[in-house]
Amino acid sequence: MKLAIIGGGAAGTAAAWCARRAGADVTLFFDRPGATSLCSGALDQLPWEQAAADPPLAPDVLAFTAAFEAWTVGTRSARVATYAGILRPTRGADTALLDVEAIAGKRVAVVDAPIDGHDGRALARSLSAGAWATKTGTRFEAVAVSGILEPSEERLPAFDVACLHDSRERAARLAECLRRADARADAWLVGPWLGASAGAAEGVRKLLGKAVGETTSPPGGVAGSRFEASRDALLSSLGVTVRRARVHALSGHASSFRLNVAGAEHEADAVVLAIGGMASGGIALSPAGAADALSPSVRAPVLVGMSGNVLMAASGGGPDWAALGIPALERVGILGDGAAARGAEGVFVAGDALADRPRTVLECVRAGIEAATRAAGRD
Amino acid sequence: MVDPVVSRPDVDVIVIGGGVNGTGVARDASLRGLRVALFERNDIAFGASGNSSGMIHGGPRYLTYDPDVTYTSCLDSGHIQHIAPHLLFRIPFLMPVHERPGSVFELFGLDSFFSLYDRYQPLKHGKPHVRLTAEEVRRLEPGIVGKLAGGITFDEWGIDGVRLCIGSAVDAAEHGAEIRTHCTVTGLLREGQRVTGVEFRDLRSGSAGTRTARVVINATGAWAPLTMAASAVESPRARVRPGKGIHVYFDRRLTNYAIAAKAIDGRQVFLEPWQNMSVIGTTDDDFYGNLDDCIATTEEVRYLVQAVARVFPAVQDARAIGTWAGVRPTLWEWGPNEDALSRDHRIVDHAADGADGLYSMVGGKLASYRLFAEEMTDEVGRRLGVTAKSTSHTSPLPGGEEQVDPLTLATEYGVDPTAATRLEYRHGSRSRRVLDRIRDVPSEAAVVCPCEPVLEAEIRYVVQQEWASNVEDVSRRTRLGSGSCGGMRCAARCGAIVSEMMGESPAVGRRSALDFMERAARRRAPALSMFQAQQEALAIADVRSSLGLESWKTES
Repeated sequence: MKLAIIGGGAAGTAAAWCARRAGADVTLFFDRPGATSLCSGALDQLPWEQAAADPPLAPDVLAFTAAFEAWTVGTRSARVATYAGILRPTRGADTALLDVEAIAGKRVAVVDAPIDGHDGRALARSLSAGAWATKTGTRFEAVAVSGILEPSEERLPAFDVACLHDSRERAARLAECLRRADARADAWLVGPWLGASAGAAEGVRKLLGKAVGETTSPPGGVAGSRFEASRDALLSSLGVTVRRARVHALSGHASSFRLNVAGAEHEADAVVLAIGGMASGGIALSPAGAADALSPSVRAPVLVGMSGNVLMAASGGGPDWAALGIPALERVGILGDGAAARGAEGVFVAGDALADRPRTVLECVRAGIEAATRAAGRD
Repeated sequence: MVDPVVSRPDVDVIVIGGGVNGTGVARDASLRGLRVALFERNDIAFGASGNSSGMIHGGPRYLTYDPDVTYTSCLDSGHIQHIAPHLLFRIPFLMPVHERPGSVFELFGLDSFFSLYDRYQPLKHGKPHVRLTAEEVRRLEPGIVGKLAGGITFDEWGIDGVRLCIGSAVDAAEHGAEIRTHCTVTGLLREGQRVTGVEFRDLRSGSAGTRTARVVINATGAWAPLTMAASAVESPRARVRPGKGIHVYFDRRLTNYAIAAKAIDGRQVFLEPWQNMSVIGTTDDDFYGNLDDCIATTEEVRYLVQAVARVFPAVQDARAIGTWAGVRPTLWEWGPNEDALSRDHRIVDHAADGADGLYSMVGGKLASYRLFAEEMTDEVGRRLGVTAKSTSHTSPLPGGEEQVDPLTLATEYGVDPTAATRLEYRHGSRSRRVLDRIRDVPSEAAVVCPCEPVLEAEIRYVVQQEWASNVEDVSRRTRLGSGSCGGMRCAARCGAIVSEMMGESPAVGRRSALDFMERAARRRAPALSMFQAQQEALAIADVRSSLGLESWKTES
């Protein structure tokens, strides 16, 4: 069974993990970074504003996140600080983020140091003013910390500062600076610059002997980089063939597909489309009209637009592009939910590629697993 | 006249509108010792003044049919350079002429035309035009395509219209004027035929009030119909023909020269280097939409890019990152197409309309705002018996008092040299006041907006000294969030700073950041490429989730 997966975000990676477990021969194609590479580090099952009644996670999803080095999904919800100064619930999180549920009622020191985009005093003020901090009596205090960076490094972007902390020496230096600034704090909240690879944060925690963690990352921050590093490690350990190239067209049907990849042909028995929504740009489907016949793996209202014969799966978010007259995002076709759509045999869609709103990371994982399960014929 | 013994009005002059005319007349009147109150419904330079081509050009376009406009524009351009030297930068123009039948005569015609314009150039310290060979045009701007017959260069001045208005408003305030932004005039106070003041409502607090005055000046530009309706005054002479003009801007400077090009309908448009980016402009179309929410459309963007691409095709691959749109308050006339309308200005005394004491300032151009303001204040002076002459062309605008060297500032205060250069452009000699804050609180040296860049000290300064009350106001004054990221990297932090200074909760600051980003996204979207638009939609969704969608309501 040769499975081609298009897309290297959360859905595509989960699909690859699942299909390899089922014994399929998997090739994963991806080109540009998508939504997961821009992620904040919070892992939701539902958009967090609606997450009051979070249903339990499927065992497969938990098994995947356990295999994924950069992420922790526990049995209960976590709570993380966003870089914009709110404390928000989340089902799981990038392991480098600080879970404040674990330190409720304690005193959290917020690093106050001149590092790109980080304003410790504003952060502490905003977090302390929030309802959760008041309710639990958790205190956030800005603590001036000096010596984290060399003077020549003071204008580095946050991402580069994170890369510095991948080295053991620099991680040790950071831990020492924090200890010197305030030895009695119960925990430390720092900006999104604890390390660009998974595991760097854990190193600092061990050295300091207490909870240290980041706020969420802004778009394009280190959380996305840690996702990519963990993904590459996982795919490599699973024996997935990874090709960093754009799939220009997909043709064929049932159990014989041809992918046009940068001018060359690639053959597959089944295809998982995990091409993302707004960030993807889609692929050309042939014959035209094939979008009518996609087999969605998530039960949800689906909006698919065609521009020429380029598939555009619009997942909303941001301004109403269509109202602004952006033709590439014109939404011309609406598929029914999974039950109602005619299935294109052998093509399975997962993640943001079919959604009426941006999918959360854990939703994409679940959709990827479901698509691969069906593709590998285990269902 | 009001009997001064019985009731002394609150102020001498009320100005409605915080654009270049309104702030200009508020300043001129304050300099002459009059007591002034200015009301602005949105923010200083919210309309045409802050969304123009950013030039105080002499208007060679008007030379053939409106030479007076050219003369007054050039003369006043010279005065503005004298009072605000820090705000001006030279923009050399390049007009390529392509080879085709008659191009020799076209070049000859242009040469003669600009010889005429050269006579006005000394008024604004401009340089005379130069006729170029095809080879010279290509050497100056290698990106220009097509078989060239030659070209012409001439010289204009660029300016940040917002900073000009802020300068006038600050100067007025320092001479005693009361400046109220986000405060709309809802009606006039009257005693019979006489206008004795205004009713207003503060749009942030919702509170209403009145101010009495001896004279009320309507300087609301394209908003004039709204002002007249609120005033219950009917006056055909104060009518404006609203002409929407849009600009598209890029993430960097694409050329050294402004390049003139012809649009599909024969209109002249240009690609100009402006501050730290390049700008294409402009359109001119009758506009009857919502003035408080005027935004460029994709079609307008395509029209401009297509025009410039014919002479400078690289513009199609350049990264357009946003648009701005404004509505010109041109003098009303039925018939002519938009470009042919007069750019002259007119003062209307509404005594004949049954509103004695009310005046309207109609029409005008950024370049001749000062003269217009002087004429208006002269009229007010005659009425009130004030004999003081205008000094608005000799006394410097705030920051224009002396020249400072940005690199010296950078060393002296230990800030980023690029940040110091940009700061010095905006604040001139007042940069020291901004940077002195860092002496007291060193952490204010932090770069909040890395694209522009903008220091925390400047954000705090414009909140304290220049009436900024939210992220968008700060952006207008400092260009924070105007670069390629659209505020994704700085809006949240700026909101936190502003809310703290305003004594508001952090949640209000987050709301303000979100409002800014949403408005910025709508202004940026028409200019973005497809892939960029997709990435941006994603990133905005992400930022929104970090700011908390609705949580500001409950978490405050």
